[in-house]
Amino acid sequence: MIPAKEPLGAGPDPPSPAHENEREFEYFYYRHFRSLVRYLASLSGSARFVDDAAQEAMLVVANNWTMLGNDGSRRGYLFVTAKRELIRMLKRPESWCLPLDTERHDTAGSLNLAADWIESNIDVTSLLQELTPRQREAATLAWLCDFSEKQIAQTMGVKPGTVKAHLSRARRTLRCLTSSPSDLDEPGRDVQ
Amino acid sequence: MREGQGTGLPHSGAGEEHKTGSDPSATIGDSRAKRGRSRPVSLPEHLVQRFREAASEPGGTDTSRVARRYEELKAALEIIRQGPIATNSTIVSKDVCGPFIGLNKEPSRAQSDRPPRRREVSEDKLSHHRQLPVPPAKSGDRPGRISHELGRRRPAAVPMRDAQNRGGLLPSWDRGMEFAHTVTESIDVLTGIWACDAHANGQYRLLDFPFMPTALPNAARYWSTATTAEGLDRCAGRRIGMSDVAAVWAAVEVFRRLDDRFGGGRARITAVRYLHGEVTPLLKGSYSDRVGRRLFGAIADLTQLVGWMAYDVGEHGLGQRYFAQALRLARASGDHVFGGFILSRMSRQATYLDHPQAAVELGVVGREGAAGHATPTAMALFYSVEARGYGLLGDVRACTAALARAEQYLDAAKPGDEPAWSRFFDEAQLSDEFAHCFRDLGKPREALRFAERSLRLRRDSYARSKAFCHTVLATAYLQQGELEEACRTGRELIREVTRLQSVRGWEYIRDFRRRLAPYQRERAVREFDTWANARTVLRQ
Repeated sequence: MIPAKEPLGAGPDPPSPAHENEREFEYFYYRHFRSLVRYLASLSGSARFVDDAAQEAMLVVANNWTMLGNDGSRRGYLFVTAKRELIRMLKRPESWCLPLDTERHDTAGSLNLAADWIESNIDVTSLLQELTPRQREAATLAWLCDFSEKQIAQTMGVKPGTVKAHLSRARRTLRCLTSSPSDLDEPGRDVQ
Repeated sequence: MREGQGTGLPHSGAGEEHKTGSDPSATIGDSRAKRGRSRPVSLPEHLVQRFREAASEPGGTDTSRVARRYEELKAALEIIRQGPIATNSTIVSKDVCGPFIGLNKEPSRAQSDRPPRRREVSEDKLSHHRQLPVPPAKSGDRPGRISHELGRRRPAAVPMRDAQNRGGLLPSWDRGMEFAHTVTESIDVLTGIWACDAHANGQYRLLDFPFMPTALPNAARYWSTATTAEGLDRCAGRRIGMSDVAAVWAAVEVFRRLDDRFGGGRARITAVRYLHGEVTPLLKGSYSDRVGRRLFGAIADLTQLVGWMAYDVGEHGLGQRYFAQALRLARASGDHVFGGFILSRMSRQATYLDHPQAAVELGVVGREGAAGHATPTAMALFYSVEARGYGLLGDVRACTAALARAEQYLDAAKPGDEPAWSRFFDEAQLSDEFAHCFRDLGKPREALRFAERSLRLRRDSYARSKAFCHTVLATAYLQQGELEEACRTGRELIREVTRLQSVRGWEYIRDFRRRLAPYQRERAVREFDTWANARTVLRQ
């Protein structure tokens, strides 16, 4: 049965599904883009290609929006895709052609969020570079991107117990790196 | 703002989160501690605090930059959803996200019936790069591709300056063609080009960029409006002295001799690697204003020489970019005469690529900018490039007037007072210019006379120029109907070019053989073709 047409002025038309998706994606973008940049910058310790990889990953998520289901799935997919994209970019031979200090130049007023974040958190990124790659990834997701252990495990493709171990070892290493010798001798602390 | 609060379910299991995961201060290993294998480990409080600060946004609620990023992404999405952009060589958006949006599939009937959108392509008789309006879509093109797309389709949406600084590899078409506002920016652009070119290892990413005829008037305009001198003193890195500058000059001389004698292909890569490995640290060191001027002058000379080599091996887009950056350095060094010389190089390239009007304009601007400072030889050189442009335009009066002025100036030259870059311009070179001009004007008798004179006077160290002069000679014989002599000179030309690494030389051979084509039935031409095919089959 065809519904009766509403009279003019009865109220605004309901948003179309495409429009709704666009609004949802915009919200998703604003919510996760910066934490994604933090994650990638922290993983590589450099701003090189980070913004590009983040944008590419967002593009992929946008194009698979309805297929990805809920917000959590999208976020997990986004982070995994962005990491792979960044690795792929950094592996390309032409990425070696750029001067190492390219990302340092003229970032003021530019869109390069990663360079700015590294600039203002150079101590944190330097510390994280002391960890093994898996520990660094777990620590970044946990402490900088606010992932739970279960979410980290699913993003990294390991068991939650492994994530716990990575985080524990990361804490131990960071504690060793930032403590004075007297702290290390303190009884009741296992810092090894 | 902490992100991800309550988002919950990346894959499944919302509400089952372990609280220890997101808190750096949390102690873990309690269960192991109970078993006596380990003790709880926690981070110091100051470190916990620092991680929390790092996780928060430094700009607070300022989301303007994220908003600009979002706008950029939205525009890219729109472009991609419009479908693949057909060009004459590649499909652009397929490489960006084809696997995710189905661009790899065969186009529908409606799509395939639609005529592809093509950019206007200006055909030129000698440049094959110009037929590629977009870079070939290789997998390595992805960095900066979004910006490239946007920059090409929607100039207002993308700050290209940012795109260039993002580490994306050469995302825009005019990369390397810009005249940087400050010396620091110019150094960044130049060292970036050297780095890319030096590490290309045969995969010439820079070479994908076409020659841009529209940029030629920009160079002339830039030079004619460049007025004030810039302070070049710099304080960063190791101290650079005049001995470093002298080393660069010595390298310039070596590369120039190699280029003149063996062609641009022989030493180009070595020269680029020298620039990248040895000269980049010099540019980024500490120097006074006086040393800086000398240093920039030497580097400008080497950069234009590398551009000349690129031009000689047929990489016209790359050569054009080197010339533009050399011009910028020449301006910084305050050497107006040398700037005029670079413009004359650009003019020569424009002549070769059949842009005579631009060639004349560049020649005139270079000459006028250097007037009053230039030595007679330099002035003769400027007039001669101007004459070549007029010759190609068919303007007999302007061409002969410019040649006459060049001759007058060269007569007044005093050997020994000339800068190193103009020493090649002697009587033999001037005769060569006369011969080229008369050939273009359709005066074979005069062309023949001057070409023979040039070959008689030319030193052996300028092997490439000799080879080119043989082309003019052979063409002049052909224009006079002397097929036997033309073919004999053509053989000499091929012998000389095979000893060089010069794409221009092979282009001249092709040009000569095209001119021979109407006489295919003649015995001399058939014999020449057989002989030439045996020697050039691998190179044509």
